[in-house]
Amino acid sequence: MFNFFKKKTTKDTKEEKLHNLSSAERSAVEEKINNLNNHPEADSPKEQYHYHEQLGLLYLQLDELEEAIDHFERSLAAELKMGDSYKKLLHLYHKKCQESAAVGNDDQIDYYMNKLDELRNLGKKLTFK
Amino acid sequence: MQIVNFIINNILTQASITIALIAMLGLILQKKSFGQVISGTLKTLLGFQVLSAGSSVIVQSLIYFGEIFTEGFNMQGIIPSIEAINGQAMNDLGLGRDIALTFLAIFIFNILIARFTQWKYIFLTGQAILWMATMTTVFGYVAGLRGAALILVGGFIGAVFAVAMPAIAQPIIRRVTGSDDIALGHFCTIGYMFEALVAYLTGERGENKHSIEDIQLPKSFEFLQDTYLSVMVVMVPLFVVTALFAGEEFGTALSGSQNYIMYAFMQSIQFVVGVYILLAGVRLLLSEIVPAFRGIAMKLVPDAKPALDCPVFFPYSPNAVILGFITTTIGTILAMFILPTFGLAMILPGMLTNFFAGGTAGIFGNEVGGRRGAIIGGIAHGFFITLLPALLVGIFTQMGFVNATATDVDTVTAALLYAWILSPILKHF
Repeated sequence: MFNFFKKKTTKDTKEEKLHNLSSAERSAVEEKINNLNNHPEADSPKEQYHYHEQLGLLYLQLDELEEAIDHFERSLAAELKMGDSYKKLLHLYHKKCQESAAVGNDDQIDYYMNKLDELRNLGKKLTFK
Repeated sequence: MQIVNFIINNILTQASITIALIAMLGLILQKKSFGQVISGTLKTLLGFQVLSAGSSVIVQSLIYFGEIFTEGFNMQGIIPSIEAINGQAMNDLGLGRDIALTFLAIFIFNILIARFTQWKYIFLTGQAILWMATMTTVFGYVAGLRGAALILVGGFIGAVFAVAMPAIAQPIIRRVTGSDDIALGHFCTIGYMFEALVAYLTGERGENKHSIEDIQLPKSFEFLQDTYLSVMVVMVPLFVVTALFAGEEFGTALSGSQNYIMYAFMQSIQFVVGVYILLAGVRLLLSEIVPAFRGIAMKLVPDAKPALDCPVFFPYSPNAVILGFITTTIGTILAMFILPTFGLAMILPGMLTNFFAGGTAGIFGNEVGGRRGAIIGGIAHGFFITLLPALLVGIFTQMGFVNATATDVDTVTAALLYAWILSPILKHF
């Protein structure tokens, strides 16, 4: 009834595939990032949201997690909106927590756990947007 | 020997000291600096004392409410408030030290279960673990458990819930979020699954399934984001209307020289103030313990799935949250009137639970049974989360709790496990 034994979604596999880019694909993503960086940042919050979200998604493809997190956070700071930025941040914070745990970095675990706590408050705000 | 006796009898029996020592242990294990250990320990101690102060304010207000409700309606009116239960258990019943140690035991057992089994869930909602520790301690005590047995059994049962609840909710959470790495850590999960079941049986399927997210809902429930405002919105009319039913003569006997309606109004505000202080205390209390232990958990269980508090999932289905709140509230109001006809106490609707548990249940109902499933399931959920706490009122009253019952249904279920299964077994020995 609720797919109790379903382990992985197709989306997970798709994301894994995205992170194994060939050098040509990687260059294409980097070029897109350069193009976006060469454009001046838009004024309206809506455009800023999309601008940073796009950059975040591109950095995510390159597996540059800190850059991706930074852009997703800036995108939500520009406009509070439910979309890829929020969804990706939820998973990226968790991933960074795991990475920090693997190297035993307590301060980083704490930092990203607090970020997850912040998403709790953001979640309430987003519900009424 | 005298010194050891003094430490055992006068220091370790103090709940605030016990919980401060737990925080100190966590900070030392994290290799924090001496200054951080001292400040964290003292903050935890302070948090417990603030919690106690909040509890006293709540109890005073509840005693007044109990008196006017009995006079006005000739029956017992119970306010569902896990905060009030926790406060009274910690202070008035002297179970604070045992609750603190059970809280620690839940953390430890949770880590052990996640480390050595395939269920990798680490429950990270500290406040919910405190409520679970409260219920397992109170009902373990009623069942006759004392000392280490009380703490270890409570810790183990609490930890099983901490792992099992995220696990049973995960198939639906996976569908809602589209991934499997984050779980739901909220002890109202049995209610969510109940709503999902009702939604599955009564809701829309296949091509006829329409999500509530496809329509526009009014956003006028924004005030619910504010915990205290939402409690106030219910408590003020509840106290004032009850005072009117109790009558001027009775009301004035309690209010003295002050107008009895104004007094009822101020008492309702006192209740909110009590919740405010108590929750501020809980935050202070947990602010050092939770980070320490979640750091330890993440290191010991590298592939852990963190079980997070419910608002994290709200943005995935915001309309379902609002619909869940409305339908759960309708269900709790229906149950308020229907349950007393079966000889159960009148449980008044709890706005906080209706919002957080109702909202999350709405996501489950909508996901499984679309709009129709969410509406019917939501009303059934409201009824269900009122029925379960009503079953505990007798035991709470016997123990000396004042006009309050627990809310979060998983903690209530744990309590019922003690009352209906563990207690009869223990009585044979």
